[in-house]
Amino acid sequence: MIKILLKMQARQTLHMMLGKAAKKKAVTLPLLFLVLFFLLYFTLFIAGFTGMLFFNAGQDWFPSGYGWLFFTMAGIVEFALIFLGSIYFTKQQLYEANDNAILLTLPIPHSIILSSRMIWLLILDYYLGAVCAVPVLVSLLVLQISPAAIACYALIALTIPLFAQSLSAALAYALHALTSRMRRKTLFQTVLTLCILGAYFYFLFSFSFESEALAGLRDKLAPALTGTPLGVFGAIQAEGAFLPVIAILLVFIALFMLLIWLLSRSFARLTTGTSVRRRATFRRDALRGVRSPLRAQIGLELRRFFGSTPYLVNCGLGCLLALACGIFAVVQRNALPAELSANLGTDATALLASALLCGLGCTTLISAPSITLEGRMLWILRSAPVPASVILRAKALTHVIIAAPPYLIASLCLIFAIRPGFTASVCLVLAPQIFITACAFIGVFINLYVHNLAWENETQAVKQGLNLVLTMLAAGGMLTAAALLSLPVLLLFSAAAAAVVACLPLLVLAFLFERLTVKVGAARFDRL
Amino acid sequence: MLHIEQLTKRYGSKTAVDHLSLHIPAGEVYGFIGHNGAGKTTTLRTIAGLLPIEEGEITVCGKSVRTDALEAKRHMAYIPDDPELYPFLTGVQFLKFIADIRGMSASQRTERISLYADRLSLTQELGQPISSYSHGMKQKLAIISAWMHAPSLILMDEPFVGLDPIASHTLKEMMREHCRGGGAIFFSTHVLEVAEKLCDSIAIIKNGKLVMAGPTEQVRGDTSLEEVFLELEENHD
Repeated sequence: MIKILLKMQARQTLHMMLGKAAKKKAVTLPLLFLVLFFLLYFTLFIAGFTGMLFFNAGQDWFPSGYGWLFFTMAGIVEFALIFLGSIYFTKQQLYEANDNAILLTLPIPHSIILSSRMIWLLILDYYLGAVCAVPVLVSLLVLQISPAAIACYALIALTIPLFAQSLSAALAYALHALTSRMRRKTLFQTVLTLCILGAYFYFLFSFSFESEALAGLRDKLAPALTGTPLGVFGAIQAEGAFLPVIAILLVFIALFMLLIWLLSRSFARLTTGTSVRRRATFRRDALRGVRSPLRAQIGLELRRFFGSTPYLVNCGLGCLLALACGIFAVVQRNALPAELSANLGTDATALLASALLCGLGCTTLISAPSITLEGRMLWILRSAPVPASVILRAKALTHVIIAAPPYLIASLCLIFAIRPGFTASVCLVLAPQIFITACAFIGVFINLYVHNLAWENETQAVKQGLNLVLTMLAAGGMLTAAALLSLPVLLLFSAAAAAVVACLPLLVLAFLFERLTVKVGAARFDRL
Repeated sequence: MLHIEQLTKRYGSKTAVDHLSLHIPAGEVYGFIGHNGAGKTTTLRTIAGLLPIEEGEITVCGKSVRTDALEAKRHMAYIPDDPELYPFLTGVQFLKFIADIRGMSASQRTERISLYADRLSLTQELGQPISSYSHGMKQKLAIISAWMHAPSLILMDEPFVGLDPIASHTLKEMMREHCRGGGAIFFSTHVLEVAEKLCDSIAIIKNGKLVMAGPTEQVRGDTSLEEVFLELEENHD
């Protein structure tokens, strides 16, 4: 039975990623190859980063007697990566999947339904765990740490996903129970997610590849963690003490089994219980205020975006990172920006900053799932007397309306930090805005052709679509093209001139994709 | 009001609708009955503009759905059999959205939404998110969104499913009023008693083909609609 349920989940995921292409074998294999390629790229990037980080840390910490800190931090990073990657996905998969109701009416024990979902989540968790643990393991081998310590670490690394999933499922349970009673649950969930993400990135970027910084970090963390459970956790691995490690494994496994047992007893109630919220009163004056179809559609898209934490966090995170980048540049203006300006010149630094903001723009994917998210509600727009071009333009404009302000603020902060010349400053403002606009239409256009309207939970729609990958790749390609075109100008003339040249292809592509979307895309929309 | 000429719709090798021709005049409640998979939903979705017309022609109030879809859609409203609505909106937000895209004035929308929400006893729920609605409440909301802009033609796919008896009765009254006011309704149903009592005319479809159409008394003859339907199903097997 579990195998059948897992096959169903795999099929859902494949359909989610590939849409209608999943039915056509000739198209499926190349697309799968593309997805796997992208997955491999992402894996190697994170694994490479983690490996270098821990190798450098190990070179400093082991000789200075802080090997236990290495194992503690490796455990924390692996746990954090898994936990962050899975908490909202866990909440949606376990408690909010659309097929929960159907499955619960079938003669399948609730523990089996729950187990099949947990196994699917564990596959994701083990993947994320491996991305962190394998490079750490390689670092340990290269650093020639004792085999016993390495073996202990390997055993712990194998069971951290179980612990992370247990905690994830337990917190997802608490979050589901808590937010079902809230009116502004999206706001709460979003703020919580951003706090967790913020803490994670702050923690991760506290690491540095420089030995002085690592030594400083060691001196800061070691006193805080010595004697604590986390410190002991690292120490027993460093000593290669198998018995305590096995005890920890058994605790992790027992926690996981206990969680399955507890959740299966309340699974039906959790997934089918109605929320008890304070009732909102209907006011007739809420019906006033007439908007054009375009504004009405934009209003709808904004409500959809801000009403969904997975959508907000997965597709809008680039905006927050851009803002953070700008604020960082202002706060640290006498450090990194000043150093770069001194070495490269202010205009060249501004050009680099433009490229950075555009790079972050590649991860802002607000319009990319906008067609998919219509799902089974597509009939509303398709039966309305509204031209498809208006609908598609509204979806793209929503992307621009949300992304433009944070990127503008980021640009202004960077101008303040770098103080480039007038031309470079104008380009530093315009380039990200044009890039965002182009990405907005690219996302809609791609989603018209690569989509899956039969999604079961919203997290799948905003996280697992091939359209998202293709949009990122297309945006990256656009940025690369602009960079390549401006490089000769940078070398032969000036950074300011290169910045202007970089803006031109972006402008052309933005215009091109706008036309493609409202002309060709509209006809496509009418046939969805 | 609605003219369907030789409509044919294929899904690969399967012909879902086979050279269907129907004429629905203003002022009529027109029922559309058939077995599961007969082509009722496909026909309704094609008229509503959700499916492209490959062969044949459909005109609504003189506007071709194939060549002038936007104009045709201005004159009609469509309610699917299982209306999925935006869960992140409240009922009033959804109705406001529909009113905006239909170009209704502030006074019109306030008056009509209040009227139909009161008639269908949904007023108290309009401030709640649609995600908290039952199937019947979503159905009622879809009905209000269809009625409020006073379309000439209303298309409905199994409209009575999920409605409580009071709401069903109210919907039937609304349908009769709409047709008395010069509109037309074309709806599919599996409940033959409702079709018999409510419809001025009935069309029966089997395997994509129209097997009988005409005024209800004529289609029913001296027997019941159920007997006619069952006999048609047997004869065509």
